[in-house]
Amino acid sequence: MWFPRNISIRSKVTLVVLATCGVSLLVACVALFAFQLLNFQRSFKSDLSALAEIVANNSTAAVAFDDPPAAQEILSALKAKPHIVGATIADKNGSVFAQFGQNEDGAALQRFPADNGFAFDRSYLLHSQPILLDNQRIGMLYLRSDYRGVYIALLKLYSGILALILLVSFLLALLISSRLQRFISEPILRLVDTAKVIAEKKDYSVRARKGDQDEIGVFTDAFNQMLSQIEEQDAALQRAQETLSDQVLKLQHEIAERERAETDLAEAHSQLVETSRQAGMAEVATGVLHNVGNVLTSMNVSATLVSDRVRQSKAQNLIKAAMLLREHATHLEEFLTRDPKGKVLLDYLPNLAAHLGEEREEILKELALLTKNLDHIKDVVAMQQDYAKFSGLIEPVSIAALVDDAVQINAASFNRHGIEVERQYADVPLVAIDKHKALQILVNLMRNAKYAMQERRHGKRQLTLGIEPLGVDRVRVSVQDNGVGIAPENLVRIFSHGFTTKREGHGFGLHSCALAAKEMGGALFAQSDGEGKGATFVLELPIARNSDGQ
Amino acid sequence: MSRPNPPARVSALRLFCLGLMGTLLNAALSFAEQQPTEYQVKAAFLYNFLPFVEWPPQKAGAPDSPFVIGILGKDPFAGALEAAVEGKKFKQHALMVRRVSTSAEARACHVLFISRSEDGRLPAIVQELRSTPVLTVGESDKFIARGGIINFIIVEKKVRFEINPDAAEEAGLGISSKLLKLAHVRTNRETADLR
Repeated sequence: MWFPRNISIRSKVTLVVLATCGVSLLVACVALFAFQLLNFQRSFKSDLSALAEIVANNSTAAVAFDDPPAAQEILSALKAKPHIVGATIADKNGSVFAQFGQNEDGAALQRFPADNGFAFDRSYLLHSQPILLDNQRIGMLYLRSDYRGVYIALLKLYSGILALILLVSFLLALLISSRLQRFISEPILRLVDTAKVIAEKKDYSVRARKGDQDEIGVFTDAFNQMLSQIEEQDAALQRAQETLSDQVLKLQHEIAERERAETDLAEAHSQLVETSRQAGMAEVATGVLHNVGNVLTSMNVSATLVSDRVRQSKAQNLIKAAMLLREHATHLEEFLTRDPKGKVLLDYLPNLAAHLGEEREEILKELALLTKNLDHIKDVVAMQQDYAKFSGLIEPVSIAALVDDAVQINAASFNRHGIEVERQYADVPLVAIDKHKALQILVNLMRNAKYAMQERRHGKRQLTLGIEPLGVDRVRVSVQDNGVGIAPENLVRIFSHGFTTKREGHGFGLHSCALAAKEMGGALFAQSDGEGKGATFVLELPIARNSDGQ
Repeated sequence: MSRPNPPARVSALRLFCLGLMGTLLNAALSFAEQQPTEYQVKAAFLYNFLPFVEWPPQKAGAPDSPFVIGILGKDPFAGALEAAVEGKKFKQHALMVRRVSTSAEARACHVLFISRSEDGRLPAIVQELRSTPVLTVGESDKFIARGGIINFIIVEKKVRFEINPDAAEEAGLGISSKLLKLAHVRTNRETADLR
């Protein structure tokens, strides 16, 4: 249905009232006028018939006494009826007797209907009325009426009245509805204003004023209730927000603390790493000291031996012989020939010389060993000094030499525990690593292998060291023992921080080794077929670029 | 006659009527052009007066009693009057044309045509019929002046009539206003000087 939708409710209410009023009035008026128009023809005919009767009656004498002027006069009275456009009186022979208005000849009169009848001729209504004198027909009256003209005039009149009625009632309806629409629109507009105020100012404490107890009143109540709820919720929200911001502050505080803790942790970790590094270095140092100790022991033995030899040397006897000779310098011959001592002396001296020569050989031998051991110590100390230097430097290193160094560091304890070392070195390029870290890792791995094999009571303990290329850019170093092995569930755990199987272990040996390997761009992992089946630790290291294994 | 008959039959009827009256006829006369004679008109008028005049009830008599049109003096109608009333009735009364000569006869008439031949006796006749409900119709100049009620005159070659309503009233007759409208009304005062 057509209805303007985007106009104010005030206009809508007015429009509804006007439309209702207008339509009902229109229907009523149209129905009334339609009824009038439907009746028009009948009433028009009866009026015309009555008029004709009067005129016919009045004209009887004129016709009866053949007085056309008199008849003419009677007919001319019809000018008072404008819709009569023609009136004709014919005598009993049908000849025109008198005429008014439109001329009707004989042919035209043929078109008129029979007695008292009606007929339409274009827009005209034709009527015939016999003129009777004492019940005898003495003539005929023909009337021609402008039926349509009257009809149209009536139509115009009705339309005019209709328009006027509609206009007046519309104005009245407008007046009344513009007064009455306030009862409907004003509460709504009040609500709208309230809503606008709320929307603009975000002030939920505003309340709509309630008017009548109708649907709008109910709506206003609901609206206000809703506002209260919103206000409450708003307040709750505000409280929640405040709480939240408090909590956020707390949280931020906590986060800061946690960050601080993390920093502390990182520090602790780095300290730990440092500790571990130092521990590693300590291990290296221990190894060094061990080696040096061993060497020192053998040196001590050598020194004692030399000292004993020197102390028990037959050199004293030589001195006694010399003194005997000096005593008997004057009678040396005599002494040598006669004196029993002298005689013995002569035999003794060559023996002594031989013996001293032997002794000297022995001492020289021991001293050579001592010197060798001293050199060894010098080497160890030099190596330790070399590794102990602080370094984070990645440099091309020959991995075979490094592995040998690690073996050398552990050599004494390997000897002590009867561990055989087998080397399976392939020809590989230089690796780009931090030498000290790698050495620590290797020393650590070998020590672990040693511990693992220590547990093994029977059979030979064999450590197999392997070096082989891995892919195009890596070298694989394996430290394989035939010790106690590792349970499958521990293969990964052993690398986690704090894991240890040693009674006095600190548990970050392998962990820091793995970290160090990762730092150098390598990797460290373990392989074992299970407990009692030995283990292989694999250290993968990156090949140094621009190096070709020289 | 009263029906709009086809022209041929009307014409035949006319010829028959005229033949009956024994009038010389021009065979070439058409029905429309035919002019009735003066006395044919007057006869018709005499008959036509009836509906416009009111007689007192006792004079009108019973419905079956005839209505009498009397002719006093020499009859100028030559049968036209009889022809005019032939087969006609007035308010159920049969119509009757009677030649009268005595005053009693005259008094019995409803309408009395007084011929010109009686001009000399007019005052006496009128005097005789005074206060009698008889419609006196004449055709002489002094008829109204002498106390007659309706008098035929010729105006512009047409038959017209004068009426003296005073005389009619004196006779106890009512004259319709319609008739008066057509008539030349001559009251007693007008005619007093002529009397």
